[in-house]
Amino acid sequence: MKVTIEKIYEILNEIIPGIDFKIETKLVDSDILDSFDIATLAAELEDIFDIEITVNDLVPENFNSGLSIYELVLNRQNE
Amino acid sequence: MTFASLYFIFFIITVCTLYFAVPDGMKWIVLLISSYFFYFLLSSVWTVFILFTTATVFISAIAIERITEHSTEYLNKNKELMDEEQVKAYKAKTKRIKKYTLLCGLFANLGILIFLKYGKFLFENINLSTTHIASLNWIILPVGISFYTFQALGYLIDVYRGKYKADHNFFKFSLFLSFFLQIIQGPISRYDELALQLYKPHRFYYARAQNGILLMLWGYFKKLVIADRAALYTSMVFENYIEYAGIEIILAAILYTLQIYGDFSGGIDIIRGIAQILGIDMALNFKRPFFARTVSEFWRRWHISLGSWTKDYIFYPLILSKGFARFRKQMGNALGHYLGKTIPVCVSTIILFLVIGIWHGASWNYVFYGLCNGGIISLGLLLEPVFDKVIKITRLNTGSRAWSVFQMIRTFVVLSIVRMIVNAKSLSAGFSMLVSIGRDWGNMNALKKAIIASGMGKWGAVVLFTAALVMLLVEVLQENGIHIRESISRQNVIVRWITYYGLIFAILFFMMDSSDGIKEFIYAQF
Amino acid sequence: MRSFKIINVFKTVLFMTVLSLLIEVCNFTSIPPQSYTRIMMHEMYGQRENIDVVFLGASHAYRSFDTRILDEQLGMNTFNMGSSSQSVKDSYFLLREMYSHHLPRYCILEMSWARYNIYDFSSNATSSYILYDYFRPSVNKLYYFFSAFNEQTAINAVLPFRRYPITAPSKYLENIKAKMTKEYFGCSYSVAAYDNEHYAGKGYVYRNKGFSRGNVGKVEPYTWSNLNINNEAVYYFDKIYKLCEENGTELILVTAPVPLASVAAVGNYQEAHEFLDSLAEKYGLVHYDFNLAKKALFENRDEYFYDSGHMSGLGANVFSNKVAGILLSHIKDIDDLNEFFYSDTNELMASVDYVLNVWAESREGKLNAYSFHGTDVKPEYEFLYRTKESDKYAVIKAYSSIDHIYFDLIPADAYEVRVNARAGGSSGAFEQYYIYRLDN
Repeated sequence: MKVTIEKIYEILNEIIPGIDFKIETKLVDSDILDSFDIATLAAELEDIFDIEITVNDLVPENFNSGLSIYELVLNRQNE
Repeated sequence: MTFASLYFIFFIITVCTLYFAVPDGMKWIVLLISSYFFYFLLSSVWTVFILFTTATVFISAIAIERITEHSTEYLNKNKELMDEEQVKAYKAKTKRIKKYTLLCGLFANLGILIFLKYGKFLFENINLSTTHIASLNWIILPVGISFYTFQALGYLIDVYRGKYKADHNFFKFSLFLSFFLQIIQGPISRYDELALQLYKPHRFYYARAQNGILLMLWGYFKKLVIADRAALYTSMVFENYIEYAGIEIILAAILYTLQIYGDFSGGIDIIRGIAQILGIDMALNFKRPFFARTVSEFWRRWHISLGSWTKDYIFYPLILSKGFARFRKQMGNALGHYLGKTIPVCVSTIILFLVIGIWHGASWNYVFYGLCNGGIISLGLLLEPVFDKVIKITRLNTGSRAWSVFQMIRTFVVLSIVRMIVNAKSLSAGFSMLVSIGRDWGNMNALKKAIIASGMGKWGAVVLFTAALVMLLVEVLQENGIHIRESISRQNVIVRWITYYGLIFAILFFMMDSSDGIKEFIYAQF
Repeated sequence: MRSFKIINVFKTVLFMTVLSLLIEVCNFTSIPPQSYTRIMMHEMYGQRENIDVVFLGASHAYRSFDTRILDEQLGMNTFNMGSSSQSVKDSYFLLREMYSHHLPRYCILEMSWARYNIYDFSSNATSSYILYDYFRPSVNKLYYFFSAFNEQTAINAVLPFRRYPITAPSKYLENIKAKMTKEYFGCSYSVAAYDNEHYAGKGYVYRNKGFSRGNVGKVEPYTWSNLNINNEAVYYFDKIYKLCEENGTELILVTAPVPLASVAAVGNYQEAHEFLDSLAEKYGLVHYDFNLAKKALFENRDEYFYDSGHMSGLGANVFSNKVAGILLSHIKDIDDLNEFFYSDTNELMASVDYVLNVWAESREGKLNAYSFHGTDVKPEYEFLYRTKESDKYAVIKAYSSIDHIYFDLIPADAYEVRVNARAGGSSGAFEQYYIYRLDN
């Protein structure tokens, strides 16, 4: 499926309910997303959007906000 | 030569002086020679192992890089002449060759580590008589093998993943693996964080050196005043656990936690302090672990470099692997979306912690350690929706101070119990110690007698308690964002000097010494 | 080049200076004023005249060689550098220190066998601490530091106050008061004077009382084993010889006496003696083992000792006179001095025709008497008792060769049992005795 920012927010809310992902920009740095969340998230993204994520991608810059996650998936889809 | 000895201080003073005296281009050489000098002093002939690892990983990384370069060149040259299928096949072949090279490097070095560290344990448990294979008692673990092997393999995998280019200077690379400050008990550093700092020349800055020395002093305080003193009591109780019960064992568990923290984090502080004098920033290994509210948070605050390494090189790769993707699908189909997501993560977690456990050593105690930690975290993950519901129903205020404190205490107690069992002479000893807590409760007289018998005595207990309180105070301040050394440096000279002298004399007066035993660093055995 | 500000250097130097001062304050307040080695070293450094004869060794040395008597008899300036548990290594470094300030013509090395075997406490660095504390700064002191102390023990050498952990603040005040005196700073002998002994001068310590005649009791001398040789001691013995040779000093080996009961108690004393002789033979030195001294030279009397191994002031007095005599004869090369000594322990013990000591221990419902005696002596024992109120002893069992008595034979109101021992066939009231308290 083609990635949309809304779908990203949906997936995020499923993993960590109660956070406003539209405004948070330090998801990893402030420990809102821990490594288990990132692992679960990465696996979900791979499954849903049919992309390949490598360990090199699992850096804080890519996962600190809903927007950066969306951009990551977008890039992977366009390769 | 342990860190806590006069000779080590002489060594450090010599190295630092030499480092700042020689011209810039030679500074890294000073570090390299010092590192190998130090290593040879500790390991003599067994130095051959670190040389082997250095050579094989160095060559493998360059090989992988060459393969990549060669294939890119080839493709650029012949892109027009090849169709899509051929390009794909060529890329796949390249990937395969790279992978085999990587695997060779991995297995060669992991193989050595496993044989040296776990050979005897494996043989004994598969019921093979070691006498047939010439008793394996001669096997000695080269110093730091668990640390430098992981560090080397992390580098190799990163080069394979294309994170950065391979190092083309064998001698500089040798320094990265053998750096004397990390060889005894880590931290396990990443190439892109440490190597450049090591190779780059640093100037001497007085203020920075002051800061570094202060950090060293703090490390010595934790190790020599707190950890070694607690060890008097814990070693006695753990050695003769049958004779103790109830509150004596509880104290042993608490003091053991204090001991291992003081010992390990103290040693790390000494290392980081020295590195700071040299202008090098070493990775943080501890972040006030006993303020952790969950076991998973604990592992982000305790032995951080190991947790981080296993996360990047075991945990994530597992989760993102094809095998796990298939496993996820099967779980999802069988057990629904939530479990389908979570169970693979749990399995991965358990594998991760099993590795962390046995990284410490070859015994069932460490297997238990891994399984416990992995199990508790996995349970937490699986039951998350249940907990969320309970919290909703009871309207528990999870933001409150009281709840945080409760969580910290809970985590501390759970992990202290696990640690106590793991540190016991055997698993059965550990469980029997756990059971004896319930027996003969609250016998304060026996406790007093035990404290005196251990050699610590009433006065030693007072010193230990006060020192631990000081440490707690410092950590509370740090947890609240206050940078202690920074705020000290902002005070006037009188306050600063009183602090320095206070810390120095606290160490000089209360440090444990040979008559009571300066203990070798606990993590030096790994 | 580097951020090398002079102000920083100054700050560092000031910091370290203040730190050293604070450490000295800690030392001053923590270390008690009483110390023999402090006064001994001070005296050695302060000797105006050249020291001609130096004595080295452990407590067997500093309690046995009375420098006042030796000075007079030998007509030379003698100095006793013995110290507690002094190892041969310690002796070597003391000798080196001596040579920086004096040129002794003779070095008397006390040879008690305990210095050449290894015991549990052998790795204890205390014997070196108490000397190292009072060495003046020098290259020799640095050399001593690296030779005597290892990783674990070095810290307490550099920070002496750590050896005296104080548990009560009043102790600090006591020390300060005692040390802020003219006597302490002047290293006056009075600082090292106690009820039962005192520093008498130039390293010699005088012990007031010894055993009363017949009351030696149980002795517990150091054991000896040829399998337990302290190789480090032998190594430093060699170095002491070489050092003496280089400086034209004659090295003379002397073993100060212990009670004959101790010699007997060791059991294989002859092995120890032969080992010490072998050290002498290695370099063609003389070894005067006063344990094997014949009566004509030195009579081994109870009163000359106060415990299993050490001489009383009276004994040291007699011994020092005899040693002076031997040394003079040796120096002038008159007399074959071997005639004053037995050739071996067997000959010694064969010449003893009395009981050397007696003691008693309870075992299996009996009170058993034990004794050491001459080879051909058949000891007899007499058992007596007294009640708490009375001063007089009454006989329970008269002299016989039986060495035990059943506890039920002892009257119920007995407070002490006394065991008398004598050689069979002799007629005195007793030769040795032992008091056994019944509330043991």
